[in-house]
Parts: sequence; structure tokens; C-alpha cells
Amino acid sequence: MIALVSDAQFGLDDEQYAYARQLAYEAANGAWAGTAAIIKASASYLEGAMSLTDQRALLTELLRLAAEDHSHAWEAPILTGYPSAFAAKALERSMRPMLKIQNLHARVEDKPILKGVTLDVPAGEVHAIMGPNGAGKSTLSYVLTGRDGYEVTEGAATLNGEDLLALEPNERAAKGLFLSFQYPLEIPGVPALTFIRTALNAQRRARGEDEIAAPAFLKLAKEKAASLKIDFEMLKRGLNVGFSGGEKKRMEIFQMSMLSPKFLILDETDSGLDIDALKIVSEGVNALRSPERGMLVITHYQRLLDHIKPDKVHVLAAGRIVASGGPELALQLEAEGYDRIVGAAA
Amino acid sequence: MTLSTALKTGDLSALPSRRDEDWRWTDLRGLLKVLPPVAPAHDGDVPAGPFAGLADAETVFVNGRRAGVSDAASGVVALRFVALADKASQGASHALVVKPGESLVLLESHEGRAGGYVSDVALDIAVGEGASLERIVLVDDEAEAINVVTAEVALAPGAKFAQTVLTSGARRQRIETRVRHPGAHAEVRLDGAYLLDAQRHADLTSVVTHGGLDGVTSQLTKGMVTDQARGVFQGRIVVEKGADQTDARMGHHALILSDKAEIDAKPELLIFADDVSCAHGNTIGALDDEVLFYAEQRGIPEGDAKAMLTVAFVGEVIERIEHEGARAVAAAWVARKLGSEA
Repeated sequence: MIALVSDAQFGLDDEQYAYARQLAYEAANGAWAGTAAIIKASASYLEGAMSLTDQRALLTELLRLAAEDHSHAWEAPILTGYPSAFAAKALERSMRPMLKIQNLHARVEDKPILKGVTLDVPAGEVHAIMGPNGAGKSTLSYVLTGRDGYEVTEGAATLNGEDLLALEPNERAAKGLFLSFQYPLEIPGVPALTFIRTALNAQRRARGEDEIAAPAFLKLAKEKAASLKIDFEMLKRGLNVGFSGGEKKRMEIFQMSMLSPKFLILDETDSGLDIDALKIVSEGVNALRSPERGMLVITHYQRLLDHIKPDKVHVLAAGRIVASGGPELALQLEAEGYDRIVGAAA
Repeated sequence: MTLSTALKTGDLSALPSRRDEDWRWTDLRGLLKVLPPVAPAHDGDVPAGPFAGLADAETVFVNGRRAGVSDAASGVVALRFVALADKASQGASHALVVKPGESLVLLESHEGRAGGYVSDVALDIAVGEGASLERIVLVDDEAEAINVVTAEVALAPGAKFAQTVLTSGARRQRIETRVRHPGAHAEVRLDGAYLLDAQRHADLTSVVTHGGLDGVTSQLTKGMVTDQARGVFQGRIVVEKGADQTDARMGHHALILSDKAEIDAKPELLIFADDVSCAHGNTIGALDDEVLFYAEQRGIPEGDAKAMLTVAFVGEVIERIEHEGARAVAAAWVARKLGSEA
């Protein structure tokens, strides 16, 4: 419920949001000065912006969340009597960035590629990572998903507070992490349906859930295939075998919608797509946007971001985030090229 | 130099050794220092075989002795060689004639239901003019067993012979097929799959000799070895002088899933005719790491992903089995051997 309260409703701009976040962070860490400041700030933002009924509803929700959250960070604004939507949202974002990457260093063989990446992506947001070739974009996606040969030398990465780096790739998938590959692989002899059902059931087993029965699986597959305009017969053939670039990407979207992951990483999803395929794939991705799901969209070109509109844009260069901003940053990169921004940051 | 001779005469020097070119990867003389006693007759029940329920008639050899014999050589016939005596030797031979124009599906099983036995089976098969035989051979030996299965196959003009061997190996095992191909629009399909783990060994050896015009041979063998297992593939296609318009294709493709496993492959095309179309392909490699990671990223644990990819790899051989029931048995056998649920 809280996640549905949008920034726009409270008119937060980037600077205000950053300030709120800082305050929320202090509050969450027990600094009462931070809490008091949140309340004061939120009060002024909220004046006249919310009905009493809505505030009561919000209070109820906050109390429920407070009961669930053993860190007690929620209690501060509630106990002082002013449960503002602003404080709640800022706190929620600060307390629960879905994907949290801190000072991540990684190397491939002996070559350092990531040199201290720090990034938070909250639930409900789409963040884009742009960067020149060789910046470490694909490495970041492989490190997060646990590919062999990518060694983390420093730093941390968590998904919903759980240490990703300690898990096997399939365990990360079961926690809800999905990487859409730049070049999805062909698997002759394994029909797409078999592959996805095996994956789905493996994830369910790992989470202690019951496996999905064949009829229920087929029904779901038929629905999802129809909504993505995928010929169901195609799903009976070897996964991605002989598919065009666009068909492969559509199959990735189909897999996403079947597995319904919590967090998506899209690695250069636009590569190899013509404009029509790009549109279809983007629509598929946009349909998966939800307040409970985070996304990291990795791309070299701005054009993908015309279709999948990000909340934030980060520039990755030489293994670090060198600039962050709103969607306008992508346009600026497109207009000025990477050299200028990367150069200015260096 | 055969195991069969050694078993009949008790002369160990009759065993093939690594000095015999065709046996250099499947040495029996170095391994077998004492011949075990001849297996006793078995008078109890025999458990059902792997193709139970599919055949119209059944011929069974138990401990090398005929237990039940059917003369049927058309329709679907089960041919079973069952080892029920530990550390004993057994030898069996059987002849089979498919009459002109007839059609036979032979569901052959070698069932190791004892330990450490030594077994030799010799088959003599003739497929008459315009007749067809599909032979599916499922070899389930015990880990310490030694087993040699040899089939001599003679084809008449216009005959069709299709074979699929499935084996999980033994301590030492050789499945050999020798086909006399007359050309004359006769067709041969010679397939095999070996899935070997632990210290198992399997040797799939075949010789197809094209003696006349217009013959077709298509051969596909796939294998997987892991742990310290060893797979051997020796495929020879001979196209004799005058056997023009022969179309012969041989493929052997195998996966090595551990550092200590080994595959020895020797594909040979010996061509003495002028106008022929012959090709062979031989590939040995590991599973593709990128494909494996892709499957793991979707939530499939590494072991399951390997099994799934191996099942798919071998699947091409299974798909070529024409008899539907046998194909299902073969697919289930592969899945079970690879510990895959699919």
C-alpha cells in the first residue's frame, strides 16, 4: 500500500528525495535528530496534501509494518505522532533498497574490472546503467548472478537484505534474481516448456514451495504466450534453436513472466533488435514493472530508455559509477557522448 | 582371438589383448587371469526384462543357457540374456533369420543381475530381401562384469537394418556389430549411446562393409563419460571396389564431464570405389559453460542442469528409434542413468 504512494504525489524532486533519504538513514540508525527532522520536513510537505482518512489508513499500515520489522526503525515517526506518507516512503526506500551494492570490486582472471560500484535500487524502480564498451556493465550483471570466473575481491551485494555473493547462481535465481542475457543461449533437445518448467519447479523446491502441476503450468504458459504473441508451438521446440534475435529476447520476456522474479537485470536487451522487436520487448518489460519489483537495465544506447523509462540513470565507466541522475542524464549522454561525462568525472 | 573361444577351450591365451589392433583399448588378456567357473543352470523365476509388455514373443537365455525359446522372427520379439550367477562365466549364441519381406523389431536386453560375471554373446543375424529389422540393444551390466556381445549381420538386397545400442558399460565391455552390406538399396542405420560413470568401460565397435552398388549407411553414436570411466568408439565403414553410389555417414559425438574420464575414438572410412558420398564427424568436448550458466541462472541446480543437457545431447540418438514403445523405454533408461527427472 505504501509503495503505491508515488513521489509525484508529494512533489519530491531529486534533491529533496536525497535529503529525505539521508534523514531516513539517520533515523533508521537511531539518530533521533534525523527522525525529528523527517517529521518536520514531512509535515511541511504534507500540509493540506492528504485527507485525515488517508492519514489514518496510512497509520494503520505503518503499525502493521512496524510489527513486522524488528529493527524498530518504523516506530520513530509513528511514536512521535506524525506518520507522514513522506517519512514512511523515505524510510521504506532507505530501509529496503531491494538491490544494494556496496563498494563492489571484481576481477576476471587477474584483471580488475569493477573498482568500487555502489548502487541501491529500491523496489518499484527501474534504474538504468549506461556506459561505454569495456566499462564493466556485463561484468556487473555476471557478478550479481554468480557466473564462474568472476571473482569478487571486495564489497557486498544484497537482495532484500540477503547476501547474494554467498549463494550459488541457482539459489540467487530462487531468491528472485533474473538476468535477461544479451545473447540468450540455444539449447537443442530441450523444449522451451520443459526448460521453464524444470526451472520453475527447481526454484519452488529451493523456496520450500510445492511444485507446479503440469496442467496448471500449461494453462499459465498458454496465457502468457498469448499475451506476448508467442506461437505456443514454438515452445515445444528446442529452446531458442534457430530463433531470430527478436524471438530470443521475446523468449526471455516469456521466461520472466513465467518465473515472475523479484528483480530483473536486463543486459543489453536492445542489442540485435530492430525497432519493431524493440517495441514488443519493451512492452513486455513494462508490463512487468510493479511496485514490488526492481529492475536494472544495462544498455549502451539511450534508445532503449525511450521505451523502458528509467527512474534513475547511472553511468558506469572504468568499473565505477561516475554519474547518477534522472532520465535526462541518458539524453545528455546521447547528445554529448560518453567522453565528456566520463572525462568530467575522472 | 575371442572371449568365446577362451570360454569354450579354457585357454586364456585365446583372449584378445592390447596387441590386437582392434582390441587395443579393450584388453581382456591383461584383465582376466583366471576364467571363472561356468554358471550353473537356474531353475527359479526370472524377473521381467526392461522391455516387458512390448513383445509378442520372448527368447530368454539365463546364465548362458536357453530358458525359453520362441522361433518368432517377425513382429516384436524380446531377446534376453540374463546373468544370475555371481563370479561365473557364461557363453551364448543365437541365430536369427528375418525372412524376405518380413519385418521384425528385436528388443534385446543384457541384464546383469549378478556380480563379477564373464559373459559372451554371439549373434548371427540374416535379414532377407526386402525385409526389415530394427534391433534395440539395452545393455545393463553390473559394474564388475566383463561382457562381449558380437553380432554378425548379413543383409540381402533391399533389406533394412536399424540398430540402437544403449549401454552403461561394465568393468570391461565390448558391443561389436559387423554388417555385410550388399548395396542394392539396402539401408543401414547403426546408432549407439554410452553413458559411463565410476570406473566403467564400454567399447562400441562396428564394421560395415559395402560390397555393391547403391547402399546407404547412417551411423550416429553419442556418449558421455564422467568420473574415471572410459568410452571407446571404433567405427569402420569399408566401401569395396565397385560399390559405387554408396552413401555413408558416420558421426560420433561425446561429452567428457570429468578430468579423469577418457574417450578413445577411431572413425575410419576405407573407400575403394570411385563414385561415393561418404562423410564422418567426430567431436569430443565438455558441456558448454555458458549454456550451463544460463540454465543455473534460471534456477536449475548445476547437477540437474548437466543431466538435462546430457539427456538432450543423447536425445538425438533416442529420437531415431522407430519403435515407439522401445523409444519410451530407452528415453526413461537414459533419464534414470543420468539421474534426471525429465
